[in-house]
Amino acid sequence: MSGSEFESYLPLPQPQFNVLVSLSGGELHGYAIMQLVEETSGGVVRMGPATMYGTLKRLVDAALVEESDRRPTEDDQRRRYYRLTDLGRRVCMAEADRLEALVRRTQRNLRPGLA
Amino acid sequence: MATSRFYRAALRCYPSSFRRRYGDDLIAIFEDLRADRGIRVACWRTIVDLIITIPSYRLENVMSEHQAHLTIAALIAMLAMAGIAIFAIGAWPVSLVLLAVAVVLVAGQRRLQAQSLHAQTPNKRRPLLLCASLAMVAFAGLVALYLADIRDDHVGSRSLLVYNIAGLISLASAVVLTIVDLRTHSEPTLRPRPDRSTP
Repeated sequence: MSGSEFESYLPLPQPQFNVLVSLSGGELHGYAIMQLVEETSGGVVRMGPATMYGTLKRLVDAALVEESDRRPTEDDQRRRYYRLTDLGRRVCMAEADRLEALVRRTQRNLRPGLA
Repeated sequence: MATSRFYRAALRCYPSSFRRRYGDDLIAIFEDLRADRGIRVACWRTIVDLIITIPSYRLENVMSEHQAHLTIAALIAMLAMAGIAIFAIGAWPVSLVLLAVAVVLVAGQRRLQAQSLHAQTPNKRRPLLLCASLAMVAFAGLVALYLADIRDDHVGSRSLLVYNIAGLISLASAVVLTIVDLRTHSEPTLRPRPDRSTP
């Protein structure tokens, strides 16, 4: 799949990108995703439980995230774990590249000496 | 605890499909949040979340592919009924506008409505929806006839009684069937999802 084929997914809404970034480190359950989103955004993005599961539902419906069958033995067996699909990984990378290009352009325009 | 019970009760405001899929996880997260951050933070964050997401998810549910057909069908029926009723009381320009809008909606949505009513997947809602629509049409017709008849000074009390009883029965049937229809779980049309992950 070429980069242009991801265009229908981009730009990703901020909560969806945050969840994808959280899951890029591996499988996580809902509460861990919420914590990681808050931590990685420096406390700026604080998702509520239903906002987080609404976002997860959209990502699962779009086949970017899937529920994992595996459960770490030491953890609560009732928790559901989620992971990125191959498509989700690629879309996350494409969004990161898009944002990186925007940052570069901003730096070139506003800080010409540093770029 | 009381806060968990309150949150469990509040979850009933979400669409049933969302609640069935994530209800237990939402309560587990609320309990984790309460244990980690304290009851105040957990309640504050959850209340804000409820206020934001309940209307949003309800609206999404109403405008989802299947529900949108029902919403549009109900809108067309209401416009047609209002058009007929207003025509009967003599305000025909308004009536014509309402009927024209109903006809345009029917013409524009006829393919989607047909697909919805003739879906190949067995759906318990289809006969209920059809019966409710027929009852609504019967009620609209009775209202039109009633309004036309009461202009006549010689209309008998027996015919008025018949109109009232028939109108009441058709309206009650339409309302009851619509409520039963809305409370009936629809079986989604299963379509193979295209494999988008294949490079």
